[in-house]
This record gives sequence, structure tokens and C-alpha cells, in this order.
Amino acid sequence: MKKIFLLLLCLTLVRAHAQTTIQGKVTDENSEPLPGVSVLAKGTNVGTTTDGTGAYTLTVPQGTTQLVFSFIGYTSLSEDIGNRQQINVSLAQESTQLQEVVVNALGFKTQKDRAGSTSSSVSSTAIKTSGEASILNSLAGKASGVKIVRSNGDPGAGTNIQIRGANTIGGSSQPLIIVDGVPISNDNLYGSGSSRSGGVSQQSRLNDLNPEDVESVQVLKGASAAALWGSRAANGVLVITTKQGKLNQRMKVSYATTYSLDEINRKHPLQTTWGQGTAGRYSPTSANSWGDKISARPGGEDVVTTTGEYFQADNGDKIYPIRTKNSQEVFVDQNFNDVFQKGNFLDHNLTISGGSGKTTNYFSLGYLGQEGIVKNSTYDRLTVRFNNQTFFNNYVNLTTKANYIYTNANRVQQNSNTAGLYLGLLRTPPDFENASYKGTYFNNAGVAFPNRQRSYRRYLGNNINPVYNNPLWTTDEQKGTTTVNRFNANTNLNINPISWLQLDLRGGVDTYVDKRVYFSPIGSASFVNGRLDNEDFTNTEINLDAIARLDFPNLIPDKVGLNATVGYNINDRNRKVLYAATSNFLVNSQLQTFTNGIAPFEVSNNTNHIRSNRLYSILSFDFLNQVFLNLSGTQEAASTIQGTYFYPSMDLAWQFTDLPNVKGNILSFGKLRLAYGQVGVQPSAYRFGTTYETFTYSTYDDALDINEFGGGFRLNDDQGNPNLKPEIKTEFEIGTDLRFFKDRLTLGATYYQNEIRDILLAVNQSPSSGFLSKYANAGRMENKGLEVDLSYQLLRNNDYGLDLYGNYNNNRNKVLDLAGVDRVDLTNQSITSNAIVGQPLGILFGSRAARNPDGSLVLDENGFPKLDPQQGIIGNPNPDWRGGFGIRGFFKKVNFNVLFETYQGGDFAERTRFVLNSFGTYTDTEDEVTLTKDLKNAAGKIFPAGSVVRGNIGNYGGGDVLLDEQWYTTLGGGLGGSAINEFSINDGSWTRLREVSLGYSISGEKFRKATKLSSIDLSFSGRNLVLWTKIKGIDPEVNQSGVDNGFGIEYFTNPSTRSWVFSMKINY
Amino acid sequence: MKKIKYILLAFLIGSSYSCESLVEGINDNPNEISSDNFEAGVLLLKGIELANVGNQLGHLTRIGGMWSGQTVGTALLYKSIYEYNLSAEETSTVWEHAYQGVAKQARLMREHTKNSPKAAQYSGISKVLEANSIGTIANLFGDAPYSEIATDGIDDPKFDSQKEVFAQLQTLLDGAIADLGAATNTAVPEDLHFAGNTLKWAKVAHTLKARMYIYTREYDKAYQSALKGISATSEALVFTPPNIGNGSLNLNYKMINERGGYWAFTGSYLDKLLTSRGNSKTNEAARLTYYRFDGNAANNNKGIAAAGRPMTLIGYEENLLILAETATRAGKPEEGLGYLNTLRAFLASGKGFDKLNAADALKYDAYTLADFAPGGIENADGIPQNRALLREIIQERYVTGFTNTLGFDDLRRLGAKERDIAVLPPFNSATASKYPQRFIVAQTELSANPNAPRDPGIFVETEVNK
Repeated sequence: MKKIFLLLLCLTLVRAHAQTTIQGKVTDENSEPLPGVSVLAKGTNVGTTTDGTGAYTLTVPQGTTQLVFSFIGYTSLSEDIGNRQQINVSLAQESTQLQEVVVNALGFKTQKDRAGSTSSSVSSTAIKTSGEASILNSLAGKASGVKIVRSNGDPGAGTNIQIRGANTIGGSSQPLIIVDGVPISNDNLYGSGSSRSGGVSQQSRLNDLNPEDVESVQVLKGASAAALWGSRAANGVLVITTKQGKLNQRMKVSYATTYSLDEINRKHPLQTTWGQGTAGRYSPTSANSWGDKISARPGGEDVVTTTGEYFQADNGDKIYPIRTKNSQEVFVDQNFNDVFQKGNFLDHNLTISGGSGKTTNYFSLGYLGQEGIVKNSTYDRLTVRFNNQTFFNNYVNLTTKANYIYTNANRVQQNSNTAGLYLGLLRTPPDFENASYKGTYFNNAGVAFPNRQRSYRRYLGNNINPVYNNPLWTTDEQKGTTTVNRFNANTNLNINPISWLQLDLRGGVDTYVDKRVYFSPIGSASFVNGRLDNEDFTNTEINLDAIARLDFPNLIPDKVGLNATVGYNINDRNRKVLYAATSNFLVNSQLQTFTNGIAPFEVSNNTNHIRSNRLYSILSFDFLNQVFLNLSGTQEAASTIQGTYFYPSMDLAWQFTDLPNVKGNILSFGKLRLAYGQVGVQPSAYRFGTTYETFTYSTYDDALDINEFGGGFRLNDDQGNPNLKPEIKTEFEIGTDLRFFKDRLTLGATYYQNEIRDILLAVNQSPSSGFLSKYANAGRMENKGLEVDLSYQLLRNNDYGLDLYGNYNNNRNKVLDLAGVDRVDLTNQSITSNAIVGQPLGILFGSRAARNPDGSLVLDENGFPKLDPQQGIIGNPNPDWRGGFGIRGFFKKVNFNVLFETYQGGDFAERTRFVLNSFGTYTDTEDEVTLTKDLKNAAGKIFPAGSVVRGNIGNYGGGDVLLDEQWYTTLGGGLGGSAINEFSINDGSWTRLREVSLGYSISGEKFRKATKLSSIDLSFSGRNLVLWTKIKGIDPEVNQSGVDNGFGIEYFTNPSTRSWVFSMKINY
Repeated sequence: MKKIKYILLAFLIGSSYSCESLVEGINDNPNEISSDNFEAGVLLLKGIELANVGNQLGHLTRIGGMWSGQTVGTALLYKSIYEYNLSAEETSTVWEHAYQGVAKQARLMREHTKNSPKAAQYSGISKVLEANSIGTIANLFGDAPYSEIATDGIDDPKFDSQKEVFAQLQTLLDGAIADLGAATNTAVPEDLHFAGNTLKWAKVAHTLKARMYIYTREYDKAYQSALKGISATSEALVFTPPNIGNGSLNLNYKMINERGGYWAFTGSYLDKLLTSRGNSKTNEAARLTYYRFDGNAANNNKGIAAAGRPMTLIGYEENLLILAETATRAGKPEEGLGYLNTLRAFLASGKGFDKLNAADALKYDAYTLADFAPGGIENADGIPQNRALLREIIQERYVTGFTNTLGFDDLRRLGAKERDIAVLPPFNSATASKYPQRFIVAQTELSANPNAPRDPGIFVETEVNK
């Protein structure tokens, strides 16, 4: 660093000598002072900036004739000096459309029209009107090439962001998040207490941020824009700027409250015709609902045995062993309503902002309280923010931003998990009532067993193991809490010693403690002796930057300008996890304490520490104010990588409408862009060496845990690798930004193509070699696609306006090389999402039907498909294209917005439906058919014409066959590799009404006089109100594995929501 | 223009500078012990044993049991497998346990402990475990990698023929027996089976040799090995579940607990056989009660699938029955019958299994050769006497071998070639015309190893049964 400062010092010595001194003040159109305006002696590099009161003093060299005043967002002004020594000017604000400001990867504002790389911005208004409680979800559908999906409708559930397709296979695909110039954590950690395939939804840490505090979000998509962040930038960068007060602004107070009403947006349709049992016979202990026809029962009370064992439910019901099932009652709706409700959240925000001549302040206090659509799922968030900027003098200002966040949530178990909500609920036979879920079992001898769970497989509670949880037990007895205390603060010392030099010293710390508890009382499925897991995450990210910016707008007067940035960064991320669990309670108690536990306890701790340091520089040239060239380079050394790596980037923008005779009535602005850049993905920590590890062996749900045998080790099945490099993504893009008809029609189009080399993979090894995988730079993948953003001002004047807007992206991803291994799975379970050479990332793989060389199904002698002994590709969850389109407008003080989003051509594995067909609870298996000819079922049994059979008639190419219980409970439904899982894949395309909003603002002079308030804003929004899709029972946007590279699969995943949101904001 | 030069110079210097010393050492793993720095190779032993236990007593034996009529798959995955639908995914864990969990670790353990005073003991024990594990793979899958496995520099080991694998394992076991003979018999607390007892391990090695000679139909060698094999229950290779948590239970109990309703005993061919098998000298009622497990509710099980019930990997009973079969085949029916009667006396003494219900009859009187003569109580259909005796020995193997793969092994060994003495349960699928002969090679090996052959499916005989 010393070297640079010395050089900078040298540079200051070659400065020209000054002659005349001019003073003055710069104001805006409302006569409010404008601080930070650049004042430059034209044709020289002599200049200064205005202070907090808008005042400046500048000594100009002899011969200077004009002063140039410029400030981002305002029209530049040249003023003749003449003989004046006092020059006061007023700058006019530019139309935002014309000179859109973007925030670059270092948090500095630049002009969008001068950028050679693409970015999309979302404003604070768009974020707030979306009606979402979390910042990430509010961005959905608003930018081309940016996929934003929440993993399900649970309150606080994580959100997956993907920019321009997948950029890594094994690493995180989430973009880097920069808030006010400093990276913050957007962890989505599963930890040891819960897994992706089965457990609870985990949160995205960025959603801690209060959307009220956000001024703007900038999505930097291309490699060239992100290259400054080296090995952390391959997934793009989200640059968030928080609100600040303004200088010389009176105190503004606003209070906003938002109420949202949420409900399930798609329900699995369940049959109500057939009772619990198998082979058409009722059985009160059967797993399946292939029993008798409920309407054929005599009706009335069941005949029960009242002399022996029975169950006394806590709700008063007494349940006796059933001798004859007479009742025709069905409970499908009641069982659903027992665990689902209308969800809601109430969000309060108080903000105070303002500023004096030297300081600005912004303070906010926010509280969000949410109840999910699943009973007892909750999310509370309290945020406090204080942003301050102080101008000590004309040269030095200090910005400090501090944010405290507290969140507390309870998550309900889901997915592949015997305690999962949907698993227990949807497998429940229609004639079983879940309400009496807890009570005391009395055996034949009259011995009482209190606090027993009663589930449909154990309707008397006569066994401590319920097999699956009664869903009410899942919602009411089990807990999955997470409590986060987070503090982040950053400070930026800006020194402006001379007009052409700005120094920024920047430091930030983001730290949080996430305390998670998972509690299952005695008698829970999988944990009949109870279970308690505690997991504490302590995460700290420290970031330091020293940045020098040099500005020579007239390097060659009126021809070439140069803006140079050089900076040095240290980034240190340290996470410590402490985990403890017991699965044996002494006493049946709700207390979440280890003193109630019996050995063996599972205890583990884990450290994850990564540090990197980078030196980066940017040279930005402008030629004749129409060609803009940015060159940047980043040299980085990181703890997880051997050696240092260099990340270059280049982009070029040419405003060709500045050529004579190009601009006209049709084309009002035109820019061509060209960009190239390299960015990377870091290896995960500690992968250099092969280690010993502890383990559990299980051949099929029969785990042997080494810790219960006194401990021991094995050589890790993952082989270490001391030669790790970063994954390098090289991207090339070409694009154009065009504006037509006096800027009424705006079109941005970009074609990009990237290749990611040296992708880090746990490459599958042949198990017979003694290792199962090796972490290595093995893969290669590419993305290419077209991004289009379009907007058109249909109508526009002072009283009304109407805009159409839309975006489109058709990303094509392809895995090019996996070092000889033909498959790397991204998820586990029967259907997996994978990397397979020649296929797009995420491709679905699993058991399938055997096929002839011509692609037709191989049929057995009964005309049914057969299981292919080898698994294969069964679907592609990637869409052909996705897009958003909307209309927004205003009439006087009313404004509205309607946004549709669409996802076309991706497959989706409806595993819940497929499995429930085996259980006989889905409507697919509800119908009865009257056969018009003899048909065989899958076992070859012939059903004569005229028989009435529960099932469907199918045809796999060998003539009609009968799909009945025999088929649905073997190859045609169910789970594991021995059902034909291919048949659970369906077209997962969807289109949704993502957002509707209507706002009205009450304001004006009269109103102000009457109420002393400047305005009251009222708005209504709807989220996800309509969904068009072929997927029957669930929103295909959900993802079983949450925020993950694998996608396109659901398995008893908690459902999504639609919401009606009302808000009111009072501004003083 | 001068300034540009300075600026560019400054940037050049800057770009070449970035500090590796700032990040050095941070990537040393603080969470796991490095394999470079590890003295106690013996800590690998338990893992080797547990991986082998899982393989010998887990999913594979349940599938083999269903395919040989001993149990029934009643729902979902197990119902489907029961009806002969097996995908390569199902065998991945077992395959990985054998190669990564046992063979790789066994070799590493021998290397790590070669300078230990107990080197020969560790070497002998680990070789027996390796032979047990890979032997089961070759038995159930046929051709399998062995000669090139767990070798530095070979990422994709070739597949050896099934007979080649067995031949190499016989040599490995000879080495194990030599090591165990040379070793001092000291305590090894890490050994879950025998706490290091070399004499018992050597007996197990001999019975294991005999078992593999049975596979390859080398009955004389099997006889010779079995003579030196396990001679008492205390010498049997047994897994005793500590039953102290969710990861140390009887494997069948654990599986039923996790997957209630998938798997059943009631209605199986074995269930019926035990009811029908009785005669004036035999009553199987007590054994049936012991065997009959509840596949819906694990806690109801008190017998063979009770939470803490020990499970036999290689048993005294098997050794006796190998002697009985091979002696009879060698034309010594008296001797063969003697071994069978020794087993019957052992069962009658109540040591073979727990008598759960006091009211159940338990009767295994000694047979005489006359019982097997045409018209005898064990030969109503009048086949030659020695065949009838062999038939009873094989049937006893089928019954005794429940929860192991003996029944499935014999079905494949004898089901086509010696139908007169084989136990032939009905097919589980109306569309089947043949018993399954093998398992499908693990998906993970098929995917990663270019040397893996295309899997021929479950109905193709392995080399020894062709």
C-alpha cells in the first residue's frame, strides 16, 4: 500500500500553479444547497467539490474562461467566469430516464449510459409496492436473466437467486451481496439439525434486511461489472444502497404499516371415496387407502369393543378398537383445516430522517410479526438502523451506517421426513380424523400410557411409535425455532484533498449469532424417545478497503477523460458452529434441556475460516464523450486457493447517437456495448488434505453410528486435493441500449456467452478404488442467452401516465465436462437433480421404464411397462425461457402496477402425487371404471367386461390395461428406485399474476394545513393471486432442497402462498 | 501525457502485488484429523467391522430373504423389490461399504500398523474381514473388482471374474490364518467381535473358506476347511447391538422401526414351511415364534428382530451344516447325519434361539439313516436315501440361515441343478419364470468406472452357477 500512496504523492507534486480564486454556492431548483457538486475549471484538471452548504472555493489557473458544475443526477452546467469572483449557480435535475444512475460494485455512483456492462435496478418504490415481507422476494420478475424464487411459503423461508443461469455445480450459486459498498452475509445454512431433503426450511440471511431501509437494488449481471470481487463474483453481484437523510432538510417522520393476508395457493386434491385398507377391505391400521367404498358402508356409529384397550384423547374423545366400520364420515377438509389457516403479517415502520448543514441522519425502527399458513409457523423481525453522514470540512466526510436485527421464527417440519407436515397429513386416509392426536392409551390390563401420539397407523395409540406423525403433532408438539441477533456496521471515511483525488477508507463488520433448536417430544415419529438438537452459528465477516479515485476529465482537453480507481481489500469470513443433540429423554416434558437427556449425546463443533486479499484497479476512459472504455484488473490471494490469481475485465460503450445525423425523431438514444471479464468461485475451505472422519453406515434405514460403539475413524471417503484453483468464469457479452420516440420506448438487449472452467466438484470415484469422491477442478460448463428489457410509455403527462414493460431471458446451460464421470448429483433421494455431460445443470435422473431402441416402452406380457434396471435421465427442469411483463400507470394521485411472470418449458417432479397414488389418497385413484371389455391388471389378473373397478384405464402401447391398486402400489406409484419414478415427471411450466398493486396518495396544501401531515399513502397489493400451471397440487416454484443448485423436485414440500396486502404510510 | 505514464506505472505495480502471506496457514483443517498425522491405525478397526456388519446383515440379506421366500415385501420399495424389481441405486450403499468401508480401510490399517507389536494380529483380523466383505460381493454380484482395488494410481479397477475373486480371497484367508497363527494372542479392545482373540478369528477364517468352497462347489475342500472351522457358538462371528441409541440397534429392528409396514414374515414360504416341517422327531413351534417378526411395529418384536438381539454373520450352525452336506456328498452319510444331529441336539438344548413362549413345543430328536430311506419319515416320496438326507440338510440350512443369505445362496446353487434337494419357494411375481440369480452392480460404480461391464440383470446366473 505504501507504494501507492507514495506514487499518489508524487502525482500531486506535478500540479499546475494557481492564479485566481472564485467562490460561490450551488443549489438545486428548490434553492436547497447541493453538496458534493464537482466544480472544474474547464480544460484543466483543476477543481473542487461543494461542501455541506453547497459552497465552494476554487483557485483557477490563468486563462481559464469557464467553470463546469456537474453532479450525478443533474444536468451539467458551464458558466463563463468573466471578471466574477463570486459565482452562484442552480442545477436542474435530469429526467431519471435520461441519465439513470447506477451503483457499481464498489458502491460508487456512475452513469448508466456510460457503462459497457449490463445491470438492472429496482427502486425502493418497486420493492415496497410488491407487498413482500422480505427484500429478495420483492425483486421477482423485475429484471431479465435474474431468477428469484422462494423455496416455499413458510414464513421467512429462503430465497434462491440465480443470475444468468448456473455458474457453478458444487459451490454456492447465490450472488455476492454488497450493501453500501461492503459485502454482507446471505448464508442459507442447513447445518446438522436439519437436512435439505427432510427437515425445516432455512432462511436466507439477506432477508434480515428491512426492505423499508432500501433505497435501491442494483443487479450486476455480467462478469465485467463484478470482476473487482474476483473469486466471489461468478454469480453476479447484488448492490444494495440504503437510505440516507439529506443536508439542510427538515425532520421528516413517517410511519408505515402493512397488513398481509396469506393463504395456500395450491392444494393437493385428495380422494374422499375410499377408506383405509388394502385390496378393497377396510383396515384401521393399514398404511394405504385402498380399502372399502365409504358410501357402501351401512352408516352410523362404528361397532367397537369397549371391554379392553382404548385411547382417551386429551380433547375428550374416547377411541375403542373398531370391530365393524360403519361410519361414512370423511375428514379430508377438517384434517386440512386443523393444521392450515389464513396466514398474515403486520409490519410497522417508523423512520425519521433529515439533516443540518453538515450532517445527515436516517433512523428507522421496523417490526414485522408474521404467522404462516401452517399453524404455529411464525416469523418475527425487529430492525433498527441509523445512517449518518458528517461533513467535517470541505475535504473530509465520514459516513457511518449501523443496523441491528433480531429475528425469531418457528419452522414446521416438511419434505421427506416422518415428522413432516404434509407427509403425515396427505397420507392420512379420508375416513380418519386427525383431531384426537394426543392422549392416554389404556391397555387391556388398564395400564395407562400418558402423552401418547395417535396417528392413522396407530389409531389406538397402542404403540409409542406412530410411524408418521399425526400432522397436528408436527404443528403443535414439535418445535423448530431459530433466533438471530445480527449487527452490521460500516464506516467510510472519504477524503478529498484536491479536486482530482478522492480517498476512501472503508471498514465493515457483519456479525450474527443464529441459535437454532429442534425439539421432538417423546413419542414423535423417528424419535420415539424424543429428540433435542441445539445448533449455534456464529458468523463474522470483516471487510476492509482502501480506495483511491483519480479523476482527470480533461486528460486531453475536450477529447479524452480518465477516471482511475485503485484499491486494496481484505475480506475475512469466520464461522463457528456448535452442535449438540440427544435422542433419549428421561422424562416426557416440553422442556428443551439437555439435563433431561441420556447419553449418548451427539456433540460437534466446526470452524470455517476463509480469508482473501485483493488489489484492484480500474481505468475508465471517455473519448469525445461518446466512447467509454473501462479496464480493470484484480489480483487476489485467498486461503483456499494455491497461489494468486488475476481477474481481468474490459468493457466498452459507444453512444453512437452522438455521431452527427444519427439521432432523429425515431431514435433518440443509442448505445452499443461490449464487455469481457473473468470472475471466479472459491473452493470451500479445508479441502487440501485427506482426513479421517467419523461416520454412520446404513444399507437401508438401518444405521450403525460409530459414536455409539465407542468412537473410531475411517479414512475420509472424499479424497483431498492440495492443488485447488478457483473456478474461472469467462464471459463475453454484446448488447445495445436504445431509446426511441423521444425516449418513450426503451429497449435493452444483451447476448451473453460464458464458459466456466475448472469447476470444483466432488467428483465421483469408482467406489472400488477406495474413495467415493474427490474434490477437484474437474468440470466445464457454459451458459448463453439473450436478455431483453423493454418499456414503453403509452401515455404520459402531468396528470396521468401508462407504461408497459417486460423482460425476457432464454438462458441455455450445458455441462461440457465432468472429468470422465457421467453424473454428479446435486440432491439425494429417488429422483435427483444432476450435472450430466451434454445436459443442462439440474437435469433429473432416476428410475425409468425400459425402452426399445425406437423409444417405445418395453411391455411385459400384460401390456405394462417394465422397470429399466439402469436409471437414466427422466426430465429437464430448466425452462426454455422465462420472462416478466406488466403494466403500470398513474392517474393524478392513484397509481397501479400489474406484473405477470412466466416460466416456460421446464419439467417438474411431482413426487408427492406419485407417492400418494401408491397410498391411494390422491384424486388420481378416486375413480371407478366400468369395463367395456376384459382387461388385465399389472399382475395379469383378468377383469371381465362389465366389472366395476377402482382405477383407471391406461394404454402403454400394447392395448388398454387396468391401472388399479396392483399397478399404483408397485411400479406405477410410490417411492424408492423400484417404482418407475419417470412417471412422476410433468410439465412444470407456469404463468402467474406475480403482483398487482393499487396506490392512492392523499396530499396537497389543503390537506397539509388541515392535518399538518405532508401525505398519507394508501396501497393494496396482491401477490401470486393467479397461477396457471399443469401441476395439480402444488406451486411448481417450490423446491424440496430449498436454496440449492438442485431443483425441479418436490416431495411433501410445504406449499406456497398467495397474499392480499394492505398498507398505509403517514408522512409528516 | 506524462501523468498517464505515472498512473499506468502505479497500476502496474499495484496489480502485481497481492499478499499470499496474509492468507497462509488459514486453510489447515481445524475440524478433522489429517491422515498424514495419524498413529493409531487400529482406530479404523471398528469402522471396518461395522461396514461389514451392515453388509452381511442389512439390506442385502433382506432382499435375499424375500427372493428366497423367507419374508414378504408388503409396501412401497420392499413390495417392489419383492416382486423382482431391483434398480442399481439399491445396491450403492452396500457396494461402497465393501470397497471403501472395508477393503480400503483394512489395507490402510495394515499399512499403519505394520510396525506395531500387534501387527500380525491386526493383519490377520483385517484380512478375514476383507475376505468376508468382498466374498459376499462376489457371491451376490458375480464378477467384481478385486485385483486392482484400493491401489494408489488405479482410479478405475477392472472387474475380475467371480471365480478369480474367490480364488484370491482363499489365498488372502490363508495369509490371515498364517498371520493369526504367528500372532501373540493379546487383547484388542477395538475389536467388537472377539476383542482380538486370534484363535477365534482363525476358526472364523476356516469356516469362511469352507463357505466360499461351497459357492464354487469344491465340496472336499469345503469339508477340510470346515473341520478346522467354528466349533462352538462362542467362536461364531456375531454382532451384538449395544442398543444405546438410534445407531446401534439390531438392523432388522431398526429398519422396521423406520419403515413400518414395508416388510413381513407372516405369509412367507418359510412361515408355512416351519408349520409343515414337523414330524414325529421335530416340532418347530418355538423356532417359529422366535422367527415371526412384526413388520409394522418394531417394538412388538421380542424374537429375532428385537432391538438388542445379536445377529450372526458366520455361525456355528453353518459350519456344522457344511460338514453335514459335504460329508454326505462324499458318500459318508453316517458322518453327515452325525453333524446334522449335533445341530439338532444343539437346537433342542435351547441354545440356538430363545424360547419366547413357554407353551411352544421344542423338539429336535436325533434322526437315523432309516428316517431318510425311502418311506422313512423324511422321505415319503421315495428318493435315494442320501438325496433325502441332503434335502433335509439343505432345508435346515434354509431355516437356520434365516436373516443371512444361506437360503438365497442355495436357491441359486441348487435351484436349477439339483432341484431334488433344493428348497423351491413359489415365485413372487406372476410373470417370473426363474429365480433371481444376482444383484445389480451399484449405480455409483456403473457411473464412475468405465471398466464396469453392462449389467446383465438379476436373472442371469453368476459364473459359479452357470
